[in-house]
Amino acid sequence: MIGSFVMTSGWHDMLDLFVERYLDENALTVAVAGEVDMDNACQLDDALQDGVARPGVRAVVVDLAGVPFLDSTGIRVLLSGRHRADERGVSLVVTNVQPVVRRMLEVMGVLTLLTTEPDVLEHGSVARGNPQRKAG
Amino acid sequence: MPDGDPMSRMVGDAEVVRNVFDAQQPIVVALAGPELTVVAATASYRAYTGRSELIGVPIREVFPEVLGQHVFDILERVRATGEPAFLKDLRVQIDRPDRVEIFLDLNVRRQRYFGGTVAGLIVDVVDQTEQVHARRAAARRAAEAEQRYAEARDVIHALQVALLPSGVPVLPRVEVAASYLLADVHTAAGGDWFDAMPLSDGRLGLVAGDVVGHGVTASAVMGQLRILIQERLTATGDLVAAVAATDRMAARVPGALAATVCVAVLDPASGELAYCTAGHPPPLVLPRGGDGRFLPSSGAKPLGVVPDDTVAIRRDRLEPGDMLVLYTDGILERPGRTVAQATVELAQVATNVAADRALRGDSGTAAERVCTQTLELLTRTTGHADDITLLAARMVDPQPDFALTIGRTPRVLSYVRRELASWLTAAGASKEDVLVLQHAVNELAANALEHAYADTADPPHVAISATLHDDGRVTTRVRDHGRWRDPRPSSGRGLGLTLAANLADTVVIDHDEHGTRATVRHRLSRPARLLTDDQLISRPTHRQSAADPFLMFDQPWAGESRIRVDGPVDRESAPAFETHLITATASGTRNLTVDLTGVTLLASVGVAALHRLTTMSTTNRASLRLYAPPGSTAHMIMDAVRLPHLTTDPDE
Repeated sequence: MIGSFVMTSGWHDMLDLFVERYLDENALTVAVAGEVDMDNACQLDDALQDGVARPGVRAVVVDLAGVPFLDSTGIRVLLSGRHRADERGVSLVVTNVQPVVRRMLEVMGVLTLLTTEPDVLEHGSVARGNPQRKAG
Repeated sequence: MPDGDPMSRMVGDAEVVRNVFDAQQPIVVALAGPELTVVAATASYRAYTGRSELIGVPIREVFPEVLGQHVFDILERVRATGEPAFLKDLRVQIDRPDRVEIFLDLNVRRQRYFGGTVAGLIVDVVDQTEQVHARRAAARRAAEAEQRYAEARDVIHALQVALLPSGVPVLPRVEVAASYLLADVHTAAGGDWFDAMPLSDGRLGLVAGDVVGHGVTASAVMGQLRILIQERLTATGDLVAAVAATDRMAARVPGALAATVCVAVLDPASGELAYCTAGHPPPLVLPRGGDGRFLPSSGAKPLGVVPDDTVAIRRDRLEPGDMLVLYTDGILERPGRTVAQATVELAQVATNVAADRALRGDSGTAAERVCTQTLELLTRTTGHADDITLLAARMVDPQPDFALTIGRTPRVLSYVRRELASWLTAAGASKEDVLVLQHAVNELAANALEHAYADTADPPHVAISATLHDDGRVTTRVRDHGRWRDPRPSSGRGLGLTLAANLADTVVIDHDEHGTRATVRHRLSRPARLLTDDQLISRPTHRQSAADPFLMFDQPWAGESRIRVDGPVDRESAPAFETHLITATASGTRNLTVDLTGVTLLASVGVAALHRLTTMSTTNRASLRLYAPPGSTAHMIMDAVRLPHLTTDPDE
């Protein structure tokens, strides 16, 4: 995994991050290609903030299939995108996470958060039911 | 007496024939007529049916529920076509008087009267119940034996994997590799081991050993011997003392007696080599560009055999580029080869492989090539009857330290990552370690560029260096000359430092008026190759199963944000647990109280998650209050691991 990253990282130098957006009904896919670090994470941030705020968009899917490297700035951008989406009632999940990036998200303990739909986190198997919720 | 009836003359008197027929052991029954009525039956048949008066009864009434419809169909077909039928192991349940299951072979053929008119069917029945039971029992025993054997083999392999070192060190002046070929399934040995350990004075300890015996016991003894030698050698650096301690242990510990071992200590600076071959075949030296030669045995006996034996050692010297190979006797005791033949072959094949004349195009270091290709080539034709272990160490020139000075230029971090990766790869670092250091250095360099010069007009100027030491650790430094700024809440900086600290062995940051220096230390290792005949044994990986449900709910009655956790926080549920808390603290930027009163189990993964959360919150100057009252499970665990927490409810 890192081997192919080392081998193929050359062409990314020439370019900034590739960010492409596809809108299908009310779901927006943000497809990212390139190594995400401090130098270009703002591009991803712009795309996420814009996507979440776009009228009519109910769900944002961040496709990381083309991302072999993601640093803490990138993680921060994804978390803040998720946070903003939650506030607006929009779902935002990350998909096609490559092994190296997956490991980083795991190390930071945010993999499940970023790859799970918000309603699954709230109502799914993780926190199934809360009949004893205290009222006051 | 025979009378004038031709049948009586041929077959015998009707009365006699009837008696003889009735006494037949094989069950015979004759059926006739459209209803397949019983017209003749032996006593044995009557005993089976439990009825004495069967003559004239249709077969369907004799066994209404016993024989399935398909049996009646077969009887009808035989009568219609004349084609005999054979039903094997027909399973039948009969009441005699208890319901029992029997197995019958049925031979059905059509019978003609003497004159040729079709009269009916003759059915021979042979009880196969005992044979079927015997066959089934044998099959069951075989399956059980197979299962037990597979389990035992798995245990041995798992033990070996757990007891052997997970890898070999990566050193600046010695290239180390190891391979371990497991005996085939019918042998399941498990007594071989290898070890490679840097000593505190820069020398390298190398061990290959073999315990007498097979199976779990051999593996367990191997594990004890390995640790003892490793501990003695790293503690004292004294080859004689380490072997002597092992010798004494082998005399005491059942199963360790007569184990053989080769222990070598190599000084990579001078090439000086000291070694002891305690009953073990001597090391092989593959000189650069020359033919392999075996070193002489040091003359020591197998471990524990001679009480208080003095440890005989020998010395030699390696030149730059030379490779030392330690091995176990499995490679010399291959089927169809004498030890003498196999020894010559080993030297020849290893020489060719070291010179890269054998199987071209294999990736990996020269030492790794020798370990895997030699095994492959030697066992390809002969197979092998025992475990085989190879450990190779080659003297190499150290490569220059890594040094890079960067400024704030486009894509500079990408450049740093690539340069560092190629330096580390050239130094022999595994992909895993390259990944870790790339990420850690990326974060520290980003920090330095971003924050160190925020308040100054000076252009950022960050120096990155890396050195691989003789102890197998790499030290990477990131220095800047700007002004240190403590991480602020909600800056990306805390996250970056946390990421670096979580990946590398240690991350230390110190700063003074001249700037900040971040030091990352990380021990490098390369995986040893554990092989079976046809595949690499992959190490058991962490199995991620669905999170075990546990209850967590917000408690709006509390003043600040508060979460209560109930149930087990174990390996299954910990990831979800951590995710929830990260979300609730907004990645450590928001204050939160976590009520752990209802936690029934707090596993180490849960403790680790709480530690990470505490660090994340502290870094971002947020308050994470963990509440666990005295007597609670969480309190006991957190007390034991010294994880700070409150024992009175902060929101009461």
